[in-house]
Amino acid sequence: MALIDLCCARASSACTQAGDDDSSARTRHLAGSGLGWLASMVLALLMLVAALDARAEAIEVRGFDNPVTEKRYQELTATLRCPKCENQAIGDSNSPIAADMRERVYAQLQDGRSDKEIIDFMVQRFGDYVLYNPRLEGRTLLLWGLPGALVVIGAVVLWLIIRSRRRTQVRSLSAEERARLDDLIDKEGSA
Amino acid sequence: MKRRLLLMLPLALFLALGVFLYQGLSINPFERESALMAREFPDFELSTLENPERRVDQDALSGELSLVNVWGSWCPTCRQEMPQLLDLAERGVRLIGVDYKEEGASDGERRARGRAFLTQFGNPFAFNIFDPEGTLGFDLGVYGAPETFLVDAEGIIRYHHTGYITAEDVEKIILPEVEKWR
Repeated sequence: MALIDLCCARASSACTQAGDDDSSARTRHLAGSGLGWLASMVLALLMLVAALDARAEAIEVRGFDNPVTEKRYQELTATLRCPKCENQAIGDSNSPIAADMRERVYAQLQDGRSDKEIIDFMVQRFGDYVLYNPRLEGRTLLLWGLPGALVVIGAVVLWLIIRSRRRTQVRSLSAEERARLDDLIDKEGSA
Repeated sequence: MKRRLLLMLPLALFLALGVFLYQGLSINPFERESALMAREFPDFELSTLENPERRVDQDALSGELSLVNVWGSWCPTCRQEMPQLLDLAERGVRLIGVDYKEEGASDGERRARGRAFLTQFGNPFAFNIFDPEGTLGFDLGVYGAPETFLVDAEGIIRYHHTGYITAEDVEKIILPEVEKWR
């Protein structure tokens, strides 16, 4: 990706150079004022691109014969968790074990293994820990079920509250209240 | 009264959640159980560090309880662990080493460095499995040396220790585990 950025930056500067004489004359005219600022911006951008490029070097470049496999590789390396660095996916980590795991994912994709087989292979060795999306099984029921259960409990509580309010609203008036109401209505009528 | 108790319910739920999450803060993510616990030691076929001609496989582990220690000559904590391992060997525990891979070195260099390490820091191991590609390490789910596995006489993994074994660990964890599974 960074490499592409760099290529793009080069291509666009080539474009400006390829401009007609008129525009290059104008550019030269501007050189003293705004262009210095522009040049420093471009330099900053290039440095940023170079920095990104250096970062990208830590992760290997892989060749894929089709884009579907490449997408699967990216998805797998983004959803498998690095055992050494608990808050990183293996696709983001520079640790040696993450590199080994990426290598295995790649090799197994090339062998035509399914995503499930690859994930099972990793879980067998490193445990459920490597799954950013825990599987739905007996011991993860609480984890997966709790949000749904809380919504249901909330809905039930809400329903109970509404029902009890409604019940108080339809409660018939006591004789005393009725008399007071009649009194008020009479007053209103006579006014 | 009942109503007042009901009003306290959200607070109680909040406190329960708070306690649960607070506990989570002190959990050490590296102290998790190995995925291979109570499973068979993975199949392998590798040479020994001592002799490139000698092939060993998982059968070399069965028959007697052994403590399999994954180490590397490049690993500083493995050095700190050696006195404890020598102590364990002296007390009659069979130790088997796995010389875990080193990045960017040839097999010859790795072997030489592995042997030099044992000469310098002592060799408590009955033999050392030479794992230059880290294949056995990977199958064991090793993510950082040193790691130690207790394998019983039937070749089943019974205990897994990540990180280095301190003198205290020897007394409090390793020896009791050894006695338990012998």
